Amino acid sequence: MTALWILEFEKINQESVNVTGTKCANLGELMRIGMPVPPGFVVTAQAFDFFLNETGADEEMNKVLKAFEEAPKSIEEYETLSRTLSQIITCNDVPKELKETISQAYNALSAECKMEEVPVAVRSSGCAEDLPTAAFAGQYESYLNVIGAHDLLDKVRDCWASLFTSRAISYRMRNNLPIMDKLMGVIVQKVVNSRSAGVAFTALPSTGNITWVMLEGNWGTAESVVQGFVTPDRYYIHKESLRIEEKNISQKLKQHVIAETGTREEDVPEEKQSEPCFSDEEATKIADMAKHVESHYGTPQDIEWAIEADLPYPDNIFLVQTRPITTLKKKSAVDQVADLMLTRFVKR
Amino acid sequence: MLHPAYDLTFYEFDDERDTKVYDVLLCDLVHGKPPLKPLYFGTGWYWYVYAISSAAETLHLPTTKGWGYRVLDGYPYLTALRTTEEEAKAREPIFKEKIKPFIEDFDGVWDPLKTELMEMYKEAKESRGLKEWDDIKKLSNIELLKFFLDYAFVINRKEAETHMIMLVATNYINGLFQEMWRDLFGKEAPIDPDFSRLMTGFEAQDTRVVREMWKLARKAFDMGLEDAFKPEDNEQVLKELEKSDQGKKWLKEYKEFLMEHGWRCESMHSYDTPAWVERPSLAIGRVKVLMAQESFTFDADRERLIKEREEAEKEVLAKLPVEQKEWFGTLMKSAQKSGYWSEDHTYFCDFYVGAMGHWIATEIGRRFAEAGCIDAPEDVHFLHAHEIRKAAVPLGDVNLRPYVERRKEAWEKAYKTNPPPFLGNIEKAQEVLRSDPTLSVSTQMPIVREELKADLYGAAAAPGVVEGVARVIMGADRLSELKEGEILVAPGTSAAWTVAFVLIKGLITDGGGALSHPVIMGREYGIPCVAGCLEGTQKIKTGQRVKIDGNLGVVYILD
Repeated sequence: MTALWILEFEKINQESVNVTGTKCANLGELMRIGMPVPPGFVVTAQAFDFFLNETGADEEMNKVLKAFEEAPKSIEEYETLSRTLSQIITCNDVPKELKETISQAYNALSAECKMEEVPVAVRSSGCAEDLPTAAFAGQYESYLNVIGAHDLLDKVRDCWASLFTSRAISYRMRNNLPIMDKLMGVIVQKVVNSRSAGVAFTALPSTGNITWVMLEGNWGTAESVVQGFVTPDRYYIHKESLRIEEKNISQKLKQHVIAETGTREEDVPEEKQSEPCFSDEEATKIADMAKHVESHYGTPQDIEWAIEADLPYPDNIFLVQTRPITTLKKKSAVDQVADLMLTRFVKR
Repeated sequence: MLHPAYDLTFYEFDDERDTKVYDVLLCDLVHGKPPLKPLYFGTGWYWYVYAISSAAETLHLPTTKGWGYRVLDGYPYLTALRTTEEEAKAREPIFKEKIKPFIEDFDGVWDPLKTELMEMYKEAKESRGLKEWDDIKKLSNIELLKFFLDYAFVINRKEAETHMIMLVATNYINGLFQEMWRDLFGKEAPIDPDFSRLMTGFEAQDTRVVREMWKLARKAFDMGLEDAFKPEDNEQVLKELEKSDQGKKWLKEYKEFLMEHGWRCESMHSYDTPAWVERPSLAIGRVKVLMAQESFTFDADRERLIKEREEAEKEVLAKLPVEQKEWFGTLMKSAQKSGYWSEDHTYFCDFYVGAMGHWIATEIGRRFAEAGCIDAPEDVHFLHAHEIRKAAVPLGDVNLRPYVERRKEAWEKAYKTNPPPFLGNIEKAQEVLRSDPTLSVSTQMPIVREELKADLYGAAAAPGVVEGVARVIMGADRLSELKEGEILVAPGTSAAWTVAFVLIKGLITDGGGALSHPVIMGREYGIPCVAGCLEGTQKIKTGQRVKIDGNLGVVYILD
């Protein structure tokens, strides 16, 4: 039984979705097609299921939901339901066998990385997440730079609980899905000590144009870019020739860096504010990887990458996530011109 | 009070209401001087005015429903039929959808319409067994009336509707392109050589016709017929050609050329000037000019111009940020296609339908004069459909002279007067003009840059710098005065002037904007041109040395 609670990335691929969640299945797939992915493992959906049954959380939550038959009407009702359900999870200890299995996996990972306690990213990986049609993006929790088995277990449980944030609950309700959701894997992955990080789109979000790879990055971890805290550097790279077509270097004033545990916000040192956060060869390499990932999936991808501070090029580039781009407006050039006809000419 | 306008009630100016409702009406001197004669004014010209509204409503133009048009003391005044803010808001989304096909594939819209028009003209002739110009004499009175009614209410209307929907789309697309050009590059497109390069290397129908004429002209040369073309009088030239077998052979080919391409009158916008197919001697003057050209100037430069355009396209796109390349390229293509439509369409629209109108009006005039309804055949140009319908069958029993007399008197009076340039509040002019881009067809203004210290500033230009002797010519009928290598100064040019482009080395016109004939032809023939400088024909005298800088859009008078 316990073998099904942990799966190493090497053993994961596209088909693993029901066990690992979508985000993790994609990670395994990336590794399978030869992309540089930091090593790690997943705590499977089955492990979560075991936790729910073994602790009686499952039964308790169903009782609460039954009592909550009517759809919540107000924000307070969502909040209350969310709090109740989350607490049922976080107040229960992870059962002993599961605890040991997870710890063992963590130790093995640390050994593989030649460290005593490897700093890891703990990321929720739901099963309805990251699908081409549903934009669950950012619904669940992630924790960067978690150190030690004890802290890891807490964060795993927190990820499970994030299935029941008011945001997540309301999302499922709006899409006619049952509130009770047990299908979640938790990714445990060696953290990249990000010198810089960011995202790569293999189609322009504004038009759906697939001629270019658009790269955005900042110093430090990708949080600042993904969450839109800063204006990142933005490069446009011609997909076919990998020629850098356009460079937009921004003033990068703030970054998120790996702290003793977790991350913290820091000022970017003055001399680096106007400096591009990736080199031309790094940019080209990331674009090349992005091109291959897109080609493999057959649809434009939104890829998160990170550049390791302690390794030399080209070994310093890692891909940490990929998902299909969900917000492709596919506004054609003709549409844009018609828009301009109104805004810039008729109304001039 | 309603002011009479040749009994054309749709043009009557209501002096109690119109300036209140429309704020200002501007005199359309470009089209209305010299004064139009009533028949054309009420038929061909009226359909163009109507068709602007047809286009505006079909395309749901947000800010305008077409032209408000009034005729006062013989001169036309126009204004915009502006929409309200609510109307504009409702029309915007529909307009966006309607304009898209023109943006996406301008030719894809124009080509089938072009074919449809030509088929309509051919059917009108063939169904009546008409081929030669004189065949119309064979029609019975009722058949002639029916032909006139078909022409005046169906054929002419359809041509106008097609014409104006394409014209409106062209104006909007080029208008947007020029706005974005200014936005992106900080320059005024009509006088920017980089813009010019992008718009060059296209062949309009006009050029094809001139090329055919050139081939014919060279054939005459090769057949040893040069001497036959020596007489100044072109009718005499035809007689000379009749004298030899070779000459007759050439005439046969020439007449075939005219049957196909000669359905055009000396004046595009009237019914009272002769058509080439009617009077073969008309085009002989052009044949004479072309005979001396060993190669067709236009073709010699064409490959180079196309290459330069393709280079310019690459250069311009390279300057743009990635997020803008795609839409700019799409807009550019559409602007290029619609730019050359400006020249292409006159053959299929204005000229053809004008020639048919002249054809029918002339025959009606001949019969009416013969029967005694009117004094002279030319008086037909002072009649309307109503009177034609009154007399077409009873002929001499109906006296149309009172109609002719009162309108002729009004027209002759108009000929001698200078109309006020506007009616109403001139301060509202900018507002009115902005609400409808097609209005600026008549009002392109020179782009003045004091620091250049030029004698004339243009509204648009074709690139290149040249110095030379000026020749001021006021009408296409005086083109024979032009000598090779001179700089032509004219009020404007149209397809009737095209042949001059093989002779001149520079061109200055009073009127015209970025889409006008002189500028488009200037580009295609590689001739520096400054158009829209308003006072060229007044300030420059024949014989003066002038310098044209088409890269800046200015003219210097050197003497």
